[in-house]
Amino acid sequence: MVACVLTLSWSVLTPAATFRDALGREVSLKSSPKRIVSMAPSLTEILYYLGLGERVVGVTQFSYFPPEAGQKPKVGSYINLNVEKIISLDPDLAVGTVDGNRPGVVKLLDQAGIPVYLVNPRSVRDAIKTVASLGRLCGARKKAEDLSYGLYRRMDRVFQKTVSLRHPVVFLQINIRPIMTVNRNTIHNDVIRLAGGVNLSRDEPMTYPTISVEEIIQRRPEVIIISSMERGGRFEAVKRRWLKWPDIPAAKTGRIYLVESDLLDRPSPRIVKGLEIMGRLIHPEVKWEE
Amino acid sequence: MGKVLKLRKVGFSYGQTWALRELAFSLQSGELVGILGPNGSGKSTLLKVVDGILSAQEGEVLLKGLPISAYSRSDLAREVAMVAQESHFRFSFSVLEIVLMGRFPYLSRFQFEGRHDMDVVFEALRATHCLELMERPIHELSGGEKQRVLIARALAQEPTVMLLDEPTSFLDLRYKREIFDLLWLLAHNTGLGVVVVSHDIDLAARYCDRMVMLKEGRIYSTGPPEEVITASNIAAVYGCEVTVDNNPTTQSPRVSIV
Amino acid sequence: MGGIGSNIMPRTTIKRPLAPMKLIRISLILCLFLFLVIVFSLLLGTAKVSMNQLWCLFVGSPKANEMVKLIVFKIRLPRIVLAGITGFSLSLGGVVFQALLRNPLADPFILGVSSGGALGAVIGIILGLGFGLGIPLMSFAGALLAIYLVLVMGRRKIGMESSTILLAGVIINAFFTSIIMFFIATSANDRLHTMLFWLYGDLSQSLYSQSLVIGPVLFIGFIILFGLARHLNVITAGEETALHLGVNVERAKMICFLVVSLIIGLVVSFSGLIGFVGLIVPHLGRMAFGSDHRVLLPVSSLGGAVFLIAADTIARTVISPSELPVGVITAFIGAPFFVYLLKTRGSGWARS
Repeated sequence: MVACVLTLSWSVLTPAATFRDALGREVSLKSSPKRIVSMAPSLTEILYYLGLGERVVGVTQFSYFPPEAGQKPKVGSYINLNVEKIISLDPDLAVGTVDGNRPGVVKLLDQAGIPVYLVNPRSVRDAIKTVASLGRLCGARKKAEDLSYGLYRRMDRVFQKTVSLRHPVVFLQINIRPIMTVNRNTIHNDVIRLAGGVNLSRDEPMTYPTISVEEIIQRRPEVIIISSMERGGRFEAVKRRWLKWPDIPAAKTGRIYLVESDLLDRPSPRIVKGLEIMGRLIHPEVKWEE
Repeated sequence: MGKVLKLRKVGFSYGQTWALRELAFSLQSGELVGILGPNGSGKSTLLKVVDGILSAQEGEVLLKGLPISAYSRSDLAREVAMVAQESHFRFSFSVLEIVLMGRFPYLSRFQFEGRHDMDVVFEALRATHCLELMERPIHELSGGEKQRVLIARALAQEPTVMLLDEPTSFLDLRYKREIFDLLWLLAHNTGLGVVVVSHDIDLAARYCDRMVMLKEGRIYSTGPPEEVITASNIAAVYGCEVTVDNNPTTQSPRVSIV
Repeated sequence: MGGIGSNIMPRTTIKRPLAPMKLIRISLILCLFLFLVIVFSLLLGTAKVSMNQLWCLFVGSPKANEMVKLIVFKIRLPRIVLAGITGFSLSLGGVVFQALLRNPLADPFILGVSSGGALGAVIGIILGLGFGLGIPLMSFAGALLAIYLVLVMGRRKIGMESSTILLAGVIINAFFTSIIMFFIATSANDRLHTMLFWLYGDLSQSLYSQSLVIGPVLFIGFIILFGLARHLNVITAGEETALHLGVNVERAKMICFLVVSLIIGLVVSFSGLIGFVGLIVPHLGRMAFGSDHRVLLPVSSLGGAVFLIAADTIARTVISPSELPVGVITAFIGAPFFVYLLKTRGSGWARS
C-alpha cells in the first residue's frame, strides 16, 4: 500500500520524460507539448507530417509546406530568429537545428524557461530518424514509428534497386550564377549516393563550392540536375546553355533535369520523394514500378 | 598704337548688387595700366568682364572695335589672356606642357602641336626667362618662377591684351620686382596691352603708365600715377589715413600708412 | 631697367613633348603587352591547355583537340574579351573622372552610376530575371536613373560645379547602397550568394554577345573622349583657367560625364562592380607617362585591359576549380598599392 502511494506520488513528482537532443543536451518536458515553435522549415514539415499541425504556434519565414503552415505566426527567418516573438507565443517546446539556429538563441530561450530540442540531420537516414525522435518528443510515438518505418522502406527500395548498378557521374547545380554545387558533407550528396549516382564534386573541400564550366566539362557528368529555388522559365534558359557543350555527356544525351530544391535539401519526409525522383532520373533503365 | 580695348558705361551685377557701374575704360596697345581699389571695389569683376567670362548687363565692351559678344570662345582666347593669382596644380605637368596649354585656342580637335606652335612657345619661354625651367615639374618651382610660367602661358596665346589679377600678392619682394619688370618689358617692347590689378601700390605706381582707382564699382580717379596716388584719394577710397611722398631713388609715389 | 638677367639663348626649336609617332609607338607597345597577357590567360585554367595546342587551334590545324577548342573559344576567350573591354572602360572612366573632378582619388564609381547599376541588378536578381537579358537591362536602367539624379541634383545655375556633382554622387551612392543593404538583409539564402558575387564583380559565364554590345559604344566613346583630351589637360589646371583659354568647360564636362557614365553603366550591367581598376591604373599611367591626357587615355585604357585580364585569370585559377569574384582580386592588389602610394607620396601627387 505504501509502495503504491510512493510509486504514484513519484510519478507525479518526476517530469513526464527527459530526452537527449542532437547536441547531447537534456530536454525535460512535463507533459506532451501543446504549443510548439518550429525554428526551421524542415521541422515544420515534419510536425505537420506527424499530424501535429494544430500544436504548432510559430514557424519561420520559409515554412510554406504544407500550405496551412504558412498561416501560422512567423518568428523570423531560419538564420535570424526573433527571440522576443518566440517567447511571446508562450510555447512549451521549441525545436530547431544545430546548423542554422544560432547558439545565442538557444541560451536566451533556456533562460526564458522554454525547452529547446535541437536536431542535426546530415543524411536521409538522419532525416527519417528526426521524424521518429520528434514524434517521441511530442507524444506521438506510435504514429511516428509507423511513418518513419514507411519512409525507411521507400528509401531502402531505391537503394536496393540501384546499389549494384554502375553509378554514373551526376552534377547537381544548386545556384545558377555563380555555378555552385555540393560536396560530400551535404544531404544532397547522400540523396545522389542512395539514388545510385556519384556526386561530381563530392571531394571538393568547400561544402558549397563554386565551380567553373571548364571543370565540369573535364569531369564529364552524365546527368545534370538543376535544383534552384527559382521556379519558372529560367530552367529552360539554363538548360539551353548546358546543351551548348556537346562534350558533356549529359548535354549530348539531353539528360538535364530540374528538381525542386526543397526535395533535395530539406531533411524532411519529402526528401524521400526527392530520392525517388532522383532514382528515376539517374537510372531510368530500372523497372521502378515492380 | 591704337585703342585695343574700350569699355563704355559698363555695368555688371551679381544678382542684386552692382559690382560695376558706368565704367568707362580704355587701353592702348603697348600700355601698362594698373587697377587699384579696396577689396570688393570690382577689380576682379572688371577683369572677368573684359575676358568675356562675365557678360555685362549694361554698356558694352569693345575689343579691337568689335563687341566682345561677337567673338567665339576660342577667338577671344586668341586675343585676351588672363593670368590668375595662383594656380593649384593637382596633377603634375612640366613647365613646357603648361605653357603649351596656351596654344589651346589655336589647335583643332585632333591636331597635335606643330612647328609654329613650338616657336611661339619658345619665344614665350625666352621672354619670361623660363627656358631653363622647361623640363621641370611645376610643383618644384618657387612662387616667382610659377608666376613667370603662367605669364609665359598667357604669352603663348599670342594675345593683344593681357590681364593679370594680383600677380605679385603671394610673392617675395624680389619676385615682385621681377614680375613688374617683365610686364613693363612686354608692354613696351611687344606692343602688348597689359592691365594689372594690384595691391602693391608703390610698385604699380612705379611701373604703370596709367592708373585707375576703383571705388564701389565706379572709377574714382584715373590718370598718370602721380595724379591718382594722392593722400586724399587714398583716404577717400581706402578709408585709411596715409601720407604720400616721392620715393627718393625712383621719384615715383610712395604710400606710407599713418 | 635691370632685374631679370639677359640670358638670350640662341634660337633653336624645342621638341614638342608629344608627337603622333610617339603616341602610336607607346600604344603599340601596350598592345603587345595586351597580346601577351591574352595568350598567357588562354593557357591558364583548370583544364590543361599547352602552347602547342593553342597554336594548333589558331592556325586551324585539324589536329586540334575538340575539347580544348571548346574550352578556349567558348569559355576562356569570351571571358578574356569581356575582361579586356571592362578593364579598358573602367580605366578610361577613371582617368576622365579624375580629370573632371580634379581629384586623383576619384574612380569611375564615384558619381553614383555604379550603385544605380548595382541596385537595378539586385532587384533583377530578386525578381528572378535571367542573366542574359533581364538583369543587364535592370542594371542599366538603374545606372540611367543614377545619372539622371546626379544631373538633377548636381546642376546649379552656373552649370555643373565639380564639388556639387561630387556631393550629389556621394549621396546617391550612399542612398542606393542602403537600399541594396536592405535587400541583402531580407533576402533568401540562394539569392544572397548570387547578389554578393555580382556585387564583387563576376566575369564567369561571359558571352561574346555581351562584348558585342559594349564594344561599339566603347569605341565611339573613346574617340569622343580622346578628342576632348586637350580640354581635359587644361581643365585639370583649373576650370577658370580653362575658360580663359577658350575651353567650353560646361560642354566638355557634360559630354565627358554622359559618355563615361553610359559606358560604365553598360559595363556594370554585365559584370558587376569591379573596383580599384579605375583608381589604380590611371595612377600607374600617370607615374609612367605623365599627365598629358592624349597619352594617358590610351595608355590607361589599354593598361586597364591588361590589368583586368590578369586579375580575372588569377580569380579563376587561384582556388581552382572554384572561382573567386574578380573584384576580390582587384581589391587585394589595389588596396596595398594604394597604401604604398600614400606612404611614399603623401597626398601630393606630383611625379618626382
